[in-house]
Amino acid sequence: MIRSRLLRTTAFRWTAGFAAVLAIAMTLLAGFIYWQTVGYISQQVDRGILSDAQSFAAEPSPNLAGRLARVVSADAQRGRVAGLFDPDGHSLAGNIVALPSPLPRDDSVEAVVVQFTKNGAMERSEVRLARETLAGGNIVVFGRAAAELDEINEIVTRALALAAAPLALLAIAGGALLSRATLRRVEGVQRACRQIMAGHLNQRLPVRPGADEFDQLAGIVNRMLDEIERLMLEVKGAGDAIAHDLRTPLTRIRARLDRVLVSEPPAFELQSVIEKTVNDIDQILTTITAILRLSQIEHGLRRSGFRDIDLTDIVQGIGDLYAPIAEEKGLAFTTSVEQAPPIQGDAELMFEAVANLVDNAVKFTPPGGRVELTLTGRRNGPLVRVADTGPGIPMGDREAVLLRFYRADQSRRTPGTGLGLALVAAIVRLHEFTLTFADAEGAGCQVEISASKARITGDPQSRSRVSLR
Amino acid sequence: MSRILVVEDDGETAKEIIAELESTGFDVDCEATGSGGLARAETGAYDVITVDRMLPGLDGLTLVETIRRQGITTPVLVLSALGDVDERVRGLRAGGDDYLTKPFVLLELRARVEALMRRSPEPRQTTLRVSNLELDLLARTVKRGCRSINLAPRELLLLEFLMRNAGQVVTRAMLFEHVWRYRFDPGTNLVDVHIGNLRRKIDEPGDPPLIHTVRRIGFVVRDSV
Repeated sequence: MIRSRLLRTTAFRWTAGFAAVLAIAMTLLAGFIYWQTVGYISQQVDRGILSDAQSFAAEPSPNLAGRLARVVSADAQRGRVAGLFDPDGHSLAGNIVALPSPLPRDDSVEAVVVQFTKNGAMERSEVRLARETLAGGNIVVFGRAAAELDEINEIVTRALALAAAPLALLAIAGGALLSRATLRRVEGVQRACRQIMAGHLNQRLPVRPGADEFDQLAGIVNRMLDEIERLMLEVKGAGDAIAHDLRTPLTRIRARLDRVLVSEPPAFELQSVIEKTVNDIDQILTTITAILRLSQIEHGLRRSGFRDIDLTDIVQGIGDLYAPIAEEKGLAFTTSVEQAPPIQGDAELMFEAVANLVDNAVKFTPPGGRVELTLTGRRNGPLVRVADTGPGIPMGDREAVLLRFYRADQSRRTPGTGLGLALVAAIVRLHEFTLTFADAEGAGCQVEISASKARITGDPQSRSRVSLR
Repeated sequence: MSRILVVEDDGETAKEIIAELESTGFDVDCEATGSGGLARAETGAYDVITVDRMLPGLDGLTLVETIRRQGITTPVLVLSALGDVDERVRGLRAGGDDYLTKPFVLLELRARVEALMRRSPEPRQTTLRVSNLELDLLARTVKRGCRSINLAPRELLLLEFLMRNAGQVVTRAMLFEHVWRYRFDPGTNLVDVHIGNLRRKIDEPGDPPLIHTVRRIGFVVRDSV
């Protein structure tokens, strides 16, 4: 039910909590204002009463009674009380029926319950009373009914109460709105996830340009989905490719052995069959080992072997390794190595990655061409580049080529497992480096491994750039 | 007769290793547990020990560390499962002399065992000699008879490794590891090309060839008989 869901959301809880704190704060503030306001007013009233009492006391006695009577009658509405008593407590003037008790001390104002007449009727209520003792021993008391203050009390309280209700409503309404907005976003995420789980791998969560926490979360989930999609495509691709790359040698072996079983060839031919079979099996084993290694690298299992490595040494070694092979094939091969600072990584894996690139370059460049291996020290990290004048990788193939077993059509007939570039991609990814195909189609192939962790934003201008992180 | 100790808990693997080594002409003892292997190794009666990294009870590395602490210098070949990167490094640090990852080719194992067997405590030589081929380790120069041979740095390292193991077949993987110091499967062709270039310089027409190819295993430098 939507209401109970609403109550459980964090947004609602926080809003309710905030509203509660707000309410307490407002109550405290209101109480403070009330206390200050009413206190001030009380003070003023008391002061007034006292000064009146004192001025009465200063009046010469004959006028006192008359003055008292005038004051009382003039002020009938406001609840003023005044009384003049002889030392025995008999009323001499004023509207107070009897000497109030307990009497306040001289020159002070206190709350006393007093019986007095007002508009002919008898009243009995609490009064702020001041008392002065006169020279002759008479006592004059002067005061005001607290009803006035009660009124003020009422007004202030009512005002606060009137304010509180709309505030509370506002807080609750706001909380509800917030919660609904959040709930809706959560529902959006749930919906997208359900579709993805149902198999629509290319769905992604909506990301608003606001970049708030939800958007950040959505962004992360989207990247996770990218990775999952890639892995699932790879598994699918691998399944197809394994079928081919492993079945082909196995089929050959089978055919050969079948023939031998049927034809009973002479010993030397048998020997040749066995040798070829062993070679085919070696090829299968190599492929399987490479797949296992690829799995391991992709699972980041080798990151624990990271230490400071020297790319200079690695690149130079690879250059020395392939120079004679390139020469034998009639290729111009150059190695150019700049001093580069050490980087964090796995030396063997980096050797393998770069060697694979050079191996491909030498393999696919026709005689008379050129292969260049360079290491440059850039500001954000060393850069290894392998460039050749071979046929290059077709634009459309560039992302696919990094998947396992993918081999661009033209290369299908050359020996190798087709895992080379997938291995390079996995190694680059493990190191969190960047692999870039940077060349123009037709002018050869140029692959770069940038040993920096800076993000490369896709350059929309350059059609030829395909970056892999 | 050379004696080899194989410490391996997987029955199939052990059988194959033993078969290969015995067919080469070695005497082979086998233990399937770490403690059993340690007991045997401590007798010091072996020329080479192969140890699997993962063993029930006492593990392979501890075995190696223990015998080294006891001053036993028998060469040890550590076998580790695929992907144990740090394990390989640790295996060498523990006192192992060489390592192979599974799955390995039996011929590779054999060649490395044989290479380990040759480790004799010779005093540091400054010159390596096979027939009339001389390699001056200090001057880094090569001569065949009176002919001075100009080798590229890697070629010289290749020759040095071959000559240090003169008479012993070394595999392409061993050559590669020694000369390039990285473990990388270079494929048959790469090392062959380098050896081919080396051979062209060392074995000129008219010279009895010294660098021989041994089918399916690797290369060896020795007098041709």
